[in-house]
Amino acid sequence: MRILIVDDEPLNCFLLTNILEQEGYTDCFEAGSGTQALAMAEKLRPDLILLDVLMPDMSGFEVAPKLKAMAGDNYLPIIFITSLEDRASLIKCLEVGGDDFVSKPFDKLVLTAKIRAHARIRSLSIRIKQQNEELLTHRQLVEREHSIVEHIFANAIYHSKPLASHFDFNLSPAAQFNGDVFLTQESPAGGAYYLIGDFTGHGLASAIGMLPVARAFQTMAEKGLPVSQMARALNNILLNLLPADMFFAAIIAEVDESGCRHLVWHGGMPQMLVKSIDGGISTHGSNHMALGILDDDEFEDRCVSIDCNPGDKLLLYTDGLIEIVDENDVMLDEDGVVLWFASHDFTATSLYNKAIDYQTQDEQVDDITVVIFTCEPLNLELGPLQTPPFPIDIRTQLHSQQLRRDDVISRLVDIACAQPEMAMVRSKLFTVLAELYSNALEHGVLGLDSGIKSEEDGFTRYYALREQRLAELSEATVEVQVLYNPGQTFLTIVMRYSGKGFDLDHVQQEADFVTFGRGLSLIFELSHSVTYTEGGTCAQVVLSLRE
Amino acid sequence: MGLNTETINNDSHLVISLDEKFDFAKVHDFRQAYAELPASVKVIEVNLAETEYMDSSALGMLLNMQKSMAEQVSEFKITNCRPQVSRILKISRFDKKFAIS
Repeated sequence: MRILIVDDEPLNCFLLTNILEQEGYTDCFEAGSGTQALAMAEKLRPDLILLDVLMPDMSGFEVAPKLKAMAGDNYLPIIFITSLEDRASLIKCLEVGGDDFVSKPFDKLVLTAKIRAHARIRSLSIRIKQQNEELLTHRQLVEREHSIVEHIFANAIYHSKPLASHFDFNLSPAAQFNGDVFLTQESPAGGAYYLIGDFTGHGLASAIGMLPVARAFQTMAEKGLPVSQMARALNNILLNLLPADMFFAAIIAEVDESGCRHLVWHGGMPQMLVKSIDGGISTHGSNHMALGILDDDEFEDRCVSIDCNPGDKLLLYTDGLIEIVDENDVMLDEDGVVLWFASHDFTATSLYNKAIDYQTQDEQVDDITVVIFTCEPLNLELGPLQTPPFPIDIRTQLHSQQLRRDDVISRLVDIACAQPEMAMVRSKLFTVLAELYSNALEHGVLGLDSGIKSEEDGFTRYYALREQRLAELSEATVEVQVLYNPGQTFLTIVMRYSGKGFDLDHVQQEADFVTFGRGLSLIFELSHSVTYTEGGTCAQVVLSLRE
Repeated sequence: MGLNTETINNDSHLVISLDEKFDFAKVHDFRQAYAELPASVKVIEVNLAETEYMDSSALGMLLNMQKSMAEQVSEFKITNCRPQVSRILKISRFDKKFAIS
């Protein structure tokens, strides 16, 4: 504790220094005038000042405010030492900025008691100032971090304009960050996926889970995965990520290009409403627990399909909407939303505003999200066709050992579709390869007659026979080629096999649909062109990369 | 394995749910799915929500099921088809024999 003693009387200084040293205050300095006091205070930064009032150059009353100004925000105790006894002088000591006074002659006990008391206040003031500075730094840091996080959130969610124009939505978080999520994404097939969800609680802690959800949703939508698989994958991600008391209620859906068929997985959200053009309302409640709770083997991925008519309106919302209460503490509830939705043609924003008018509390307690979808053809322009950048030239010869496997087609599809741009044709390629292969293997190699299938119980017998002949098969080959060059918009598939040739003319002469064979008609419908050569043992099919 | 069955509505409605592939490898399991059904089953629903890949043997299995169960079952439904699958069903005119949704 550093003390500056200011007195023009050297004897007084000496006395005071002595008293203080006896009490253990050894870091004491003496100034003989006001001017010197100011200079020393600036250099020494004392913790307390004992100040005489009457001095020749500058009185203590003049020095005190200057010392205070020098100390800034920190509390610098100034104790006046005075022989003046009139009340006016004593009051002036305090008015000019002094904090206390002691009278001459000095009472040692009173003086040291006062020094201790003021030292306590000073250390308190220093601590508060430090904490204030820390708080300020912290606040600036948090603000900066929040603006970074806001930026990341803003970029994580992307709604393409043509698709977003079909959804009327309003997201209103209760705090800076939203625990509600609304995502949309085109499907490769010309339809779209959407997801509305609500993490437990609100604010940043709830919002953070949105990042992996949005990312996974986008990736899976690009691949055109089924909703059930999306729900299962998101459940696994969140199960690993979220603490046990946190979960994610969500509706995940795929709508087809007509805008009318919705395939929906519904876990823990308020019921969905569908309003038909004549005003009738149907409700579709949750059939599953929210995501992030159940282990994979307990998880149910069953979806329901909701078939609507053009012009029908779907309403989806988070529980923030139904949990608002009016002045009588009555919750709006799901039934309240049904009444509102039935009675009026709301937009997402006007419905939200009605909710805000309904509630009496000034502050919104939970995040509220409202989404309205009008059933109409999506007319999404499929973006420019993404064709694989690398050529494909696959030739593989399958012998009896491979032909006996029942995963031949999946393996071929996996090999041919190794580039992500092939995602759109996977399903079509599977069907066409499967049909070509069945023809090659069953009729060409194994010599099976489809006619068996139409006999009594022939279907089962046909496949039993297939299995039996496959097991006995010794020498046979099926050769498969898949060819593609960058820049083309089609694939070429060649399938060549050993055995009896396939007589397309013969089949076509019979001309009617039934004998044409369901398999063959699928190949013709799905492909751009089909030709058989080499005595019917080589099929060449051109398949468009467009869906 | 690859295929689930459950009966709902007091055993009057059988739901057969397929996984991502509905092809000849399922011939046996699919036949088993409706073998020895209780007489109370009047509706059979084939749920294709997860099915992405399908070939003509699947079409054969569906027709075969319909043929062998027509006396007992009054309604055959194919539900939750994804676009690729519904296209194949459409090409094959299955909408004439099944209620497809």
